Amino acid sequence: MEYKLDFMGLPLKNAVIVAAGPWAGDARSIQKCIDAGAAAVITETIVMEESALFGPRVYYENEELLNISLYGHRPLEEWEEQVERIHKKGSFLICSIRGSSPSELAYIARRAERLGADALQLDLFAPMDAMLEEINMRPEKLYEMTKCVTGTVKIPVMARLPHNISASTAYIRALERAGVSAISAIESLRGISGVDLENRRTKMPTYGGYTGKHIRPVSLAATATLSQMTDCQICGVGGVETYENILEFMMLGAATAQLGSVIMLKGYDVITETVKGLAGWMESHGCQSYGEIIGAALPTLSPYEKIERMRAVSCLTEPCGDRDCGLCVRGCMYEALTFGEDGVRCDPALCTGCGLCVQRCPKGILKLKKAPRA
Amino acid sequence: MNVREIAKLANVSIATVSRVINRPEVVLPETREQVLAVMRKVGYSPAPHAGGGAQPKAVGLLVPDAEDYLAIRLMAGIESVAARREHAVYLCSTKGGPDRERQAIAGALEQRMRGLVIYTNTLSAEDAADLQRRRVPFVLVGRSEAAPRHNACYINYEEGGYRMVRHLLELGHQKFLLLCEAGSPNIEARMWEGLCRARRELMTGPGGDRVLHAEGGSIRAGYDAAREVLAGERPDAVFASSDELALGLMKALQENGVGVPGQIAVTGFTDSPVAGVVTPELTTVEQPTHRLGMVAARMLFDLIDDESLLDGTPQEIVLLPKLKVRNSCGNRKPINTLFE
Repeated sequence: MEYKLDFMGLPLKNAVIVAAGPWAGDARSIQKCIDAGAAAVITETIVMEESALFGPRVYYENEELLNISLYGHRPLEEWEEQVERIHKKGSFLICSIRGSSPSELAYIARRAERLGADALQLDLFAPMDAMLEEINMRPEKLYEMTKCVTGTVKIPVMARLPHNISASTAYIRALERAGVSAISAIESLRGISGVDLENRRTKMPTYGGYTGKHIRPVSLAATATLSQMTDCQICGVGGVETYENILEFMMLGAATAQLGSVIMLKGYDVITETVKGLAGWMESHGCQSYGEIIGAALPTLSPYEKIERMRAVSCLTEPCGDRDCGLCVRGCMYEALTFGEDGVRCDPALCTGCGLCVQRCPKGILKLKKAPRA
Repeated sequence: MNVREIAKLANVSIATVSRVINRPEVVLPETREQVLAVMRKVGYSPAPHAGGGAQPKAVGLLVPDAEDYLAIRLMAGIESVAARREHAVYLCSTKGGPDRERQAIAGALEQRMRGLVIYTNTLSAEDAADLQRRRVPFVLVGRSEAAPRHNACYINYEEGGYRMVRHLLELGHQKFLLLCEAGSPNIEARMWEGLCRARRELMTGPGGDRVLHAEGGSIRAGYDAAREVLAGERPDAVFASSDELALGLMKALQENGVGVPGQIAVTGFTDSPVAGVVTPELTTVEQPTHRLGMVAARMLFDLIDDESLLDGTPQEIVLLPKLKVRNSCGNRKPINTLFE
């Protein structure tokens, strides 16, 4: 069964979009994404003046990626020739564009539309660049840049926001006024790879954009926040690695989600697996359309003030004498968990019910229960 | 029927149609056939350019001064786009002044260039209107009298002035001197506007800032300006309208035992290649002139590809300059040399 959906007015064959990046940097790689089943592919960012490639520019450790180069290595004219070679096969091409001023951005937008883009993604917040410092401080600057694009092209426009700005009403309203069709979040986080202690120097020479599964909680939060602030469609991006992740984003209100750096780590097959997994899950759960799941988990999300104030305490469901483990005892900041002669003990008078020991216990023998009224 | 309509009918870009006409070998066979089929159907054949015979694949670039670093960067930017279109770029120096400019334009047209990029602050509205009447594709670079009514691009100097002065104010400098080449009222006025905006925003009030005119824009002119900079009340910072002026001034100040930036901070407005190798390294405003050349060339080829645009609304593209913080301003933080 195919689960189609309408995203920015484009009839997508599924909810899987490939993010802007080197995995979509020319006709050949974009074709791989399309052939692997992506409903839409976002090009590597197209700019007025391409930047030269240098190496090394990607830092990898612990399944974390940090990229220090600004995307955009292909001249506009070359993009025109590349795009001609793509067989879309029912998928859509979204051009990621960046510019330093409204008129420059609008020009690139027109060229992208002319070269065959079905939609645009504005990537104005790259974390390695200070070119657009002003729009980080002034929502009306973002409005000007965006309005210049929406006023000049007929194709739909999506704006990509960094995590901090995707929680700002002033910026969201600026994008709405400018007439965007969707908002994608988040931009990669500005990061530093680390410091080589012996040589007293940073591992990479400058800041980079930090991506990968570790940023997913941040992008999930951005999606949830956005979906409560705007009627624009939302596209989740940042740490999306599996179909389950895509479902998480959708249940928090996203219409679609983007696979990015995971393609760099696992290859193009991950797109196919995600597309299949997504349809499989929908089918096995008797879902007829994405409409049933988009935002489905939002009602369970409460503001801090409204969360249920249950008093709970931890307790052992069976005795534990494993002194070598001690994860629960060492991790208890309230001294509720201690080692006694008969093994681990939990003092309900001291336990505040934070739940950490329950989740860390490798044997799963700690449980939270409702505390008796004091 | 023009290329725009052909492109629409064939459902491809104008650039594709242009490639089918000029470089068919780079177009996918099925796309090429699709375009050719439309052309056959509507009986379209590419019009020979005015004047008959083969027109050279060349565009002209007119600049006030071919020795100027910015003119060379502009040329390089134009060439990078023109090369992809297999067009040559011919450089012609006008040495300033409307008469020389008019002569140079006439000369370029005799060479039957397909279009012109004119880097000028002095071109009159009549001269530009005359080119328009003759249906010559052209793009203006810079803010001349003619610029608002034609396809034009320029760098926002006011923003550059604003960013530099804001930075200098944040470093604690109070009294500024703008060192400008005499006879370049355009850049001087914009830098001054930027200075005033920065002062307004940071609410520092007027600081007794003044403008000093250098006799030309060379390193020597900057060097010679030192005498006047040191006479009278000394400024905290000198913001020069070009790197050359700043470098000459810096040299003279150092020879006179005046510490830069300790006693007087000095900043430029170009980001020339030597800015990063002198001591102290020169803080300056980077002018994205190479990118400006790419913009101008793209606007020009748009006009060459689609003549109907000659009658359309003129386009204006403005680029923003970027602050390049090094050390001559008094900055000591290493990371500022990378980021604003």
